[in-house]
Amino acid sequence: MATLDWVILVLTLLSIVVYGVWKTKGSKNVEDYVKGGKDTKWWTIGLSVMATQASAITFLSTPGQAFHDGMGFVQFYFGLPIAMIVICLVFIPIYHKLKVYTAYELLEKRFDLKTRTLTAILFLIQRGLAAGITIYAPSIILSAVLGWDLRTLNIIIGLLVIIYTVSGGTKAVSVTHKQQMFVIMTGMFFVFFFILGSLPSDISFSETLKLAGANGKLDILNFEFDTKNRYTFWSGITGGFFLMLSYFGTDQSQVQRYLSGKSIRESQLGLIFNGILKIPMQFFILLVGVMVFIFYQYNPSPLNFNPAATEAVLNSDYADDYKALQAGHEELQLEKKMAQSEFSSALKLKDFNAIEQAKIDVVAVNKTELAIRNTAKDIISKSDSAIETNDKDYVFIHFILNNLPMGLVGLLLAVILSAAMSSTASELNALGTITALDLFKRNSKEGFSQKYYVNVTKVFTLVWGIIAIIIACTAYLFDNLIQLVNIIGSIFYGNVLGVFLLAFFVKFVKGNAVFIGAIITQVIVFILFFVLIFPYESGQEKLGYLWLNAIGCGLVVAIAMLIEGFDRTLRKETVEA
Amino acid sequence: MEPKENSEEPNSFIWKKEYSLVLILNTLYILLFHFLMKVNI
Repeated sequence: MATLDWVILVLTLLSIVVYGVWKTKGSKNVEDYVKGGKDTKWWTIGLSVMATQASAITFLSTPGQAFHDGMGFVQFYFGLPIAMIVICLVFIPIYHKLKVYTAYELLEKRFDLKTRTLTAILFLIQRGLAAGITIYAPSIILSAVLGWDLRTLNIIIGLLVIIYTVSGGTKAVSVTHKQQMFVIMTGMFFVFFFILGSLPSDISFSETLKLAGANGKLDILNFEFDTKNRYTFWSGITGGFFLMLSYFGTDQSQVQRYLSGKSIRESQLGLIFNGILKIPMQFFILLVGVMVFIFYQYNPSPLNFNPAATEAVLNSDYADDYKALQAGHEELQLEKKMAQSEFSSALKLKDFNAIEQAKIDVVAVNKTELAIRNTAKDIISKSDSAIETNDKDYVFIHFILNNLPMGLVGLLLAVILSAAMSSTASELNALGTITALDLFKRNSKEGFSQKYYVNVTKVFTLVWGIIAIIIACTAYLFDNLIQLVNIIGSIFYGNVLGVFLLAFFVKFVKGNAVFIGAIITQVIVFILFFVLIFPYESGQEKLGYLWLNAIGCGLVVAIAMLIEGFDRTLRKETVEA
Repeated sequence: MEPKENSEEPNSFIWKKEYSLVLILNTLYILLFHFLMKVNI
C-alpha cells in the first residue's frame, strides 16, 4: 500500500475517533449518556440508523454477492419500509409515552421483571456474538489480502470504537455515524465512477446495464413461492418484514438511536428517512458489485478471489491441476473480452439477429468461466478441506487493492473500517446500556447517584468491547459472512418481536404465559435451525433462514395465548368446583 | 382533531403523509427494478 493510502486511511479513522471524543465529553446523567441528551435531529437519527445496520460486511460481501449471483439480494430489504411505518405508528409513540431507556424496560411495565430479564438476556447473547463477528469479518478478509496480523487488526478496530463509545456514549455514536456515512458513500461513489471511466470508451452506461442483464446480473425480482430460496420477493416482504420489524423495533442497538430523538416527530422522521433511502442504497451497493463484474469482463481476474485458498492449493499435490485450470482461465479472458465487444457492437448496430447471437456467445463464455471456477473450488477443497472456497467476500477487496488507483485504495479501506466501527459502536453502546440498566440497576439497591450509573454503563460498555474483541479473535469463518450475522439474528428476533406484539396488541395475555411461551418458542426455533438449516450447505437448506423470524413470532404469540386461555379455563373450573 | 405537528403526546395509529410517501416511493423502486429486468433484451 502506498504512503498516500496510509495517510488517508489513518487520518480518516483518527479524525472520526478524536472528533467523537472531543465533541461529546462529560455526560452528567444517564439521560445524557444513554439517550444522547434527547436532542438529536431527525437526519442524524436517520443516518445513525443506517450506519448501524451497514457494517463492514455489507461493503465487503454485498458487491461480491452481486458479482456472482446478481442483484436479487436487494429483495431482502423489501419488508423494511413497511416495518419502518409500523414502528412509527406503534412502537415509537409507546416508547416515548413510557419514557423508557431500553426497549425491554417496556416489557416489565406491561408484563413482569422476568420477561424483561429474559428478553434482555436473549439480546445480550445474540448481539454480543454479532458484535464479535462485526469486528472479525473485516479483519479476517483484510488480514488475508493485506497480510496484516488478524489479532492485531481485531484489537485495533475494537479499541478505536471503545475509545469514543465509552467516552461519549450515545451522542458520540450518533455524531461519528454522520462522518462515517459521509466517508462510506463518498468512497462508493468514487468506485462507481472510476469503473465507469475505466471501461472501453465506446461503451455507454446503458450498454453496460445490457451487458449485465445478458449475464443474468439484473435478475432482481423473483416471484416464485419457494421457501428453500433465500431471496425472493415473498421472503423479503414477509420474512424480511418480520426481521426488520424486530431489528429496528426491539433491538436496543437500533432503538437507542431513535430514543435519542428530540421528539416523537424527530424519531419518526429519522425512520422515514431510512424507509425511503435504504433500498436505493442497497441497490447502489449491489450495482457497484455488478460494475465490478463488468470491469472483469474487460480485465483479467483471478480464478479464485481468496488469496489464502490459492496459496493453499498451489502448495499442495494439486498444484499442477490448478495451474492447468489457471491457464485455461487466462485463455478464456481473451474470448470473454471478444464476446463482450461483439455484443456491444451488435447493440450499436441495432441488428436483432446479431444481438441474439452475441448474447448467446456472452452467456456461453460466462457459463464456461463459472464451470472453471467451480472446478477450481473442488480442487481447493481437495487440497485443504478446511479452507473457505466461497470467495464472494474477497471479490470487492481484491478489486480495491489491485485495480483502484493510489489514494482511492486508502479511502476504500477507510470505508470498510468506518463501516465496521459504526455498527460495532451501536452494538457496544446498546450492550453496555442493557447490562447496566436492565440487569445491574434494576437488581441493585436504590440511592446511587446519576454519575455512578453513568460510570457503571461506561464500565459495562468497556467490558462488552473487550468481550467482542475476544469473540473476534476466536471466531471461525463459515459461509457468507453477511448471512451469518442475519442467521444469528433470525434465531432470536422472531421470538422477541412476538413478545413485543403481545405487549402492544393482546391485552388479555399476562407475564407468566409470555415467559413460558418465549422459552418454548426459543427451543423450537433452535431445533428447526439445527434440523433444517445448519447441517446443509449454503443454498441447500430445507428452510430459508428468514422464515425463522415469522415462525418464531407466530409461535410465541400462539403459545402464549394458548397458555393464557388454558390457565384461565383451569382457574375458572377450579373456582366453579 | 388533528394532533399538532410537534406534539409530544403519543399519537399511535395516526397515519401521516410521510408514510404514504414511503409506500409510493418504494413501489416505484420495485417497478423500476421490474423495468430494468425487462430491458434485459
